[in-house]
Amino acid sequence: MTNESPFCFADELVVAMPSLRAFAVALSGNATTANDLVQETLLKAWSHQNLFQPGTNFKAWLFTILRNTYYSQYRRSRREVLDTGKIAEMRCVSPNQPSHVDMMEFAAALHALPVDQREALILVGAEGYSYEEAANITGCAIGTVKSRVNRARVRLARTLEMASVDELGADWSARAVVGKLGR
Amino acid sequence: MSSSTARPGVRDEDTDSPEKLQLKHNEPVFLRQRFHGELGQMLRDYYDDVLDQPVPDRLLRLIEEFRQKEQE
Repeated sequence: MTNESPFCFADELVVAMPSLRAFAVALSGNATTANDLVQETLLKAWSHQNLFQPGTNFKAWLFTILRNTYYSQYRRSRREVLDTGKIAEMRCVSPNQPSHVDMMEFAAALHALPVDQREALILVGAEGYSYEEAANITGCAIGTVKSRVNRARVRLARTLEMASVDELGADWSARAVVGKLGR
Repeated sequence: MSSSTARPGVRDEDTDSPEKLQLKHNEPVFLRQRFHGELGQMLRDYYDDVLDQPVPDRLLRLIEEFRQKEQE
């Protein structure tokens, strides 16, 4: 007999909701679209909850549903347009604060990245998933995730005119993969 | 011919990815090293800011509907 509390699907959805929304915003660049995307993800998760395997990563499962929904239904063009107005509305800080300018600049640079690079960067750099977990969510090889993360770093650093890619931190394994792919 | 034939006793999933295994072995180190700079901080700040936004009512209502169905 165990003391494990029963898995409550609705409770787990509430816990995962902020991350789900943040990932949706990062993918779509638009708060309204992101909310639609999350709503659809919740409905799909609910109707297919029998497919979730207890003991596995529930949030990662939701991320996979959200990502697949985005790619199949919401991504209408290869180039996403950042809704800066919506992003600005979503900011907590006053537009007069210097950090607001920095954040808007960063958000614009982030959303100028190809979506595959952006999602890899968010999953690994912001959500803290391992490369393996990110690879499972995105359905690609670990090396591909590393490559995308590294390319995203380089591109962001260039866009924001930072001194070097090391501003994002060293990750020699990813660079090695990129180097080999580039040959 | 499978790789397991070429290398007896070694699983297929291991033989085709020595680089992958090396990366996996080193991953904890890389994870600690990752995103420590200014740009990494900006990424976290951006993401935390979105995380902190209130969840729209329509999404909360939807989950409440799920909860009620779970209790039925």
